Amino acid sequence: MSELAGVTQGAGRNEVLRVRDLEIGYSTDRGRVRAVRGVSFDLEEDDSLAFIGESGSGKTTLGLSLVRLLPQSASIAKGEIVFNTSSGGELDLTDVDDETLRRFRWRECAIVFQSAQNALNPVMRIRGHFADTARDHAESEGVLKGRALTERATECLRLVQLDPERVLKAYPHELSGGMRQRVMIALGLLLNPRVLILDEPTTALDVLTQRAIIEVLTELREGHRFAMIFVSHDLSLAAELADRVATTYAGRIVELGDVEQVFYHPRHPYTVGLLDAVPTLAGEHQELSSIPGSPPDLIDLPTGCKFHPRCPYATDKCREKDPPLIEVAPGQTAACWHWEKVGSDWEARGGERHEQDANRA
Amino acid sequence: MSRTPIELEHVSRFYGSGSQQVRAVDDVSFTIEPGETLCLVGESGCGKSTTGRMMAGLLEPSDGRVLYAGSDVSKLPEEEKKRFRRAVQIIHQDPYASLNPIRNVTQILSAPLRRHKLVKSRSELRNKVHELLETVGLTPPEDFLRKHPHELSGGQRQRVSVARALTVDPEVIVADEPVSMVDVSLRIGLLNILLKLQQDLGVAFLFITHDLAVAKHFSWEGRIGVMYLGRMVELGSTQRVVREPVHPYTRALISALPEADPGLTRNKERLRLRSPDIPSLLNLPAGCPFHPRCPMYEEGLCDTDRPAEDAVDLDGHLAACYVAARELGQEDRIPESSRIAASEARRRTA
Repeated sequence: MSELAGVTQGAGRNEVLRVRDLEIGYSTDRGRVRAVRGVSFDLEEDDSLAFIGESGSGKTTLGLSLVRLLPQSASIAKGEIVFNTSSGGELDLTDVDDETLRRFRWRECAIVFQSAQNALNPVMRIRGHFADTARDHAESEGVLKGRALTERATECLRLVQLDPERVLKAYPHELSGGMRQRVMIALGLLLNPRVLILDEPTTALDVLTQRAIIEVLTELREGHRFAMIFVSHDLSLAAELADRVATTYAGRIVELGDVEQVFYHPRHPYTVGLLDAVPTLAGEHQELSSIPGSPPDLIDLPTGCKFHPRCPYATDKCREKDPPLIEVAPGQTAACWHWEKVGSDWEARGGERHEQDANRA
Repeated sequence: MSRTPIELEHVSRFYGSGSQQVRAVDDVSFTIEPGETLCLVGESGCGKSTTGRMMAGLLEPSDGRVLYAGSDVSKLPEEEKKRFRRAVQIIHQDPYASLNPIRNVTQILSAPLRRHKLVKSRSELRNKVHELLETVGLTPPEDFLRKHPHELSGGQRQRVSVARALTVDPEVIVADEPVSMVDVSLRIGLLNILLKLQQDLGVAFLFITHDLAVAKHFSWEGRIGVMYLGRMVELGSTQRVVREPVHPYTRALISALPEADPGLTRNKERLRLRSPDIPSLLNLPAGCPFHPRCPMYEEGLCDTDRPAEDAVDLDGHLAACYVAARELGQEDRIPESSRIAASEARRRTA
């Protein structure tokens, strides 16, 4: 039961999504890639949850599974993904037919892909993308077509600070990368979904464009009631936009907590390692260190704690037994046998430094 | 090997011709002193990579000169040119594309050693390859000698690229976004290796990155040059550029950068741009290329003459901005025509 400590606390309050003990794997010639292992979390309306981790940590697979867009080679071995739909019912995505799934996508949960360049149809004007999405959901209540569709599309494009007149007529190649990314976000908002998933929404964009996207997302969150899930390798994006942060490693959540808890009082050595590896622009020159070794092979995972080969705290216990995700502070969980030591070391070397810097800024 | 500065003198690179001509790099000048680090930062399309490629001799400037030991690189006799090619090495952004997939690590590192006749015997070759792998932290070397690029992680491949650049004992390494395709947890390890090369071997770096925080970390004792639409808009010591930026574009970049610290990044002061869209290189605005977006824009002053690279000169800290020049008491650096246009614009609005 300790696996669920800290994640269950939010249940009941306008919960929109509940994921329990999710396992996803890919079958390959070499064997089964265990991309997501035993992931559990809750998401509430208004909540913004960031999954951070490196390539191969399973975060994109997790994001795709929430709209059931996994490639053919992937399969959900066990677990449940339960949405509380807008009509009030519960929908377990691990067990639905295609038709239900088709209605569910965009309307209940929309995803904005990493590469907006490839996500838009190059021979279709932006207006066509909006019309397509609406047409696919024409049978559900609140049909959008003709003038109503144009009005709604215009409204969505304004929300992301684009000029609807120009953009609706444009082909994707006529827009810049940042504009295409904003079109994708606007398209995601078209049918008022309860959850918006963003996979690396600002990667590959320039700093000033990135800032524009962050501002759009911040404003959207203030004015609208929907939950967001970010998937990113970029810690600063999580720092900027998330209410809660989940650190993922080798397909598992290894730490989950409020953004301040995770950034200022991390209790998992991998989170500490990531924070130590990222340079900041503010303040003096810092000594930075990288995490030794490389991310593990998801086909041939280490025994015990999957982080132990790279971890400075590793002991025999870590090599033998995978630690459960346990509550380390109210609302914060971590999967580490030595979380108390990790925490006291962090606080002892002035882990609060960042926080003080922030107060001064 | 004697160490000599490399100088870019009013270097430009144009593509296309007539109305379709693009000035990817337009009149950029700077010198890299032996052992120095200069970071070029800017957004995509600002000309930073093109500048790096011209410095490395991979592209000919359309205008201006690259000087090595005081002489124009394009006019060097064959023997001297070979020396220049050895002196300046480049590390590319994508370690998946820059290494030959059918050669193993030993072959990749041996080729330049043989080509430049830097080793006399097989045993010397083997020792040199071992030594290089150790320098870049690929240890024990025996584990890597026979590996092909596809058997290595992105971080390891990039280390092989660094080792390859080191084979010929270069004076300058042009590193073009060397860590942007490497995982977050491994980036700093690679940067620290490059830093060590600089400290231990005295290699100078032209380090190209879009990430100001990485530039700050890598070049704390060095300099940063900020490029925008093919031009150098600010050039000065890293600490001063980061703490007291002069050019509004640099200030916009710094204020826009998200930081991995929730309190800091959410309370950061933001500079609001007048327009989010970057102008096309095919249709550059008159005067300062940043003026359509610049929060400090003044009619007449900013859209008449293009500010010179050293419109502001604070003890060698340069910035191409007339508004800053006026505010910092360097009005004499603003050309007559801009001053007249500015006062006329003021009179019209008054």
